[in-house]
Amino acid sequence: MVQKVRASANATQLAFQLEPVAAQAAPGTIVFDLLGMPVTMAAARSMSATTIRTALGKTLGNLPGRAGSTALVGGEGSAAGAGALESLEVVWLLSKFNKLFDKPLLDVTKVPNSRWSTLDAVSALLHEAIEGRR
Amino acid sequence: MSRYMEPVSNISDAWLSVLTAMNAEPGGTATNVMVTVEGSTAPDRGGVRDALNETLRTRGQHEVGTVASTLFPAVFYGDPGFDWSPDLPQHAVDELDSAAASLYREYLEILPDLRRIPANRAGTYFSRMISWPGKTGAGVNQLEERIRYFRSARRNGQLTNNASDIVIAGDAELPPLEDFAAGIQEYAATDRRQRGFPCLVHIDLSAHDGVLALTAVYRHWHLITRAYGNMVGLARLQAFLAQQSGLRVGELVVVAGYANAERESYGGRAGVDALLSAAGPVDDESVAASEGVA
Repeated sequence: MVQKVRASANATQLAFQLEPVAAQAAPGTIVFDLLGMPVTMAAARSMSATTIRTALGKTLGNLPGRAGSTALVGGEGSAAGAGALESLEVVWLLSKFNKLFDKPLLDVTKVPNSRWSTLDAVSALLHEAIEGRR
Repeated sequence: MSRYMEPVSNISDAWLSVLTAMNAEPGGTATNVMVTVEGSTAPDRGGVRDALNETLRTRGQHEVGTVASTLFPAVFYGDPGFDWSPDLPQHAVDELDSAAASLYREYLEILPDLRRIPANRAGTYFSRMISWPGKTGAGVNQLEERIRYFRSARRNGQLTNNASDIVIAGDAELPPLEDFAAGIQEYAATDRRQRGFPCLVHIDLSAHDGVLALTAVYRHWHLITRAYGNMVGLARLQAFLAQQSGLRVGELVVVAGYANAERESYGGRAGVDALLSAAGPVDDESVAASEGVA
């Protein structure tokens, strides 16, 4: 069964709304939030690299300060290009998956930067890690 | 001997000035170096930042944006677009408070993941700011306390707070609000490490005539690997605190006990010169412009 839970456009609120849903979900139930992020381990395991990429992109886009904030004073941009992720964003995205498993999926300090510096790369890495837990 | 850098109007020129000066020193280092940015919220110069990012990326180091996020994770702050003031309607105050609460909450949620990274085991700069001593989410939120203090002062018609404290003693020695010295503690007196985290030991905040000045004190300031990102992060922190407190953004000052051009890691004096050459010269108008800033 696939469920979708209600969520606001604000990712911060979303995180709080999902906790009870995850707690209530029966083991093995496939539950996603409205951004396509997995709420259960079964949901994470059902995802392809492409669906992971889509969900991560939507979730990242909902970070409140990602663009247009005066809190970004002093400069932005990366030598890795416009689509590059900051390591904090990567840790934040990975944490959404890590909490579904009994131990963290990835230790990014042991993975070359090039393998997690873009959404495509993180998605592939996550999918690989999830497959490795089967 | 101490070194005083001429104040400039943006972060790029502050970084160029201090790195150029330190690389001119015989050993590429100096003690008691003071850098002043008059307009920390002014846009930086993209060409300077790009040149530095390229060097950092080539060496496998974190780029400016990542370093900046260690001091202020701007991605978690949904800027409401207006400043606090004593006569702000309650719904607007609630919006400001909610944006700040989301910032703290979102960061603390990933703190366990961040602390799995070896460099973060003792906590991070931002976790020390919002949950001192920074290892769990159950500590003292220094930023929230400072904002409450500045708002309280504003409500009482105080536009100047002489925060002449140097809060470096004792774990979480945070006095009651009415006695509050408005610094941010980053370093515990019980911390006996000689190297490594934290290089930033204290942040001093002073309001003067409604303008918020920020002074950061570093033990060891790595001018290529960290300094530019440090100033960007501090500028974002300053802008956040000013917005939440209803103050205008003033000077950003860094005092480094020991400033290091990092010749040993970036190809010697010639390597640092090459980076400076790629980044371009200090903008003379930046220096001149800063002289006109109140």
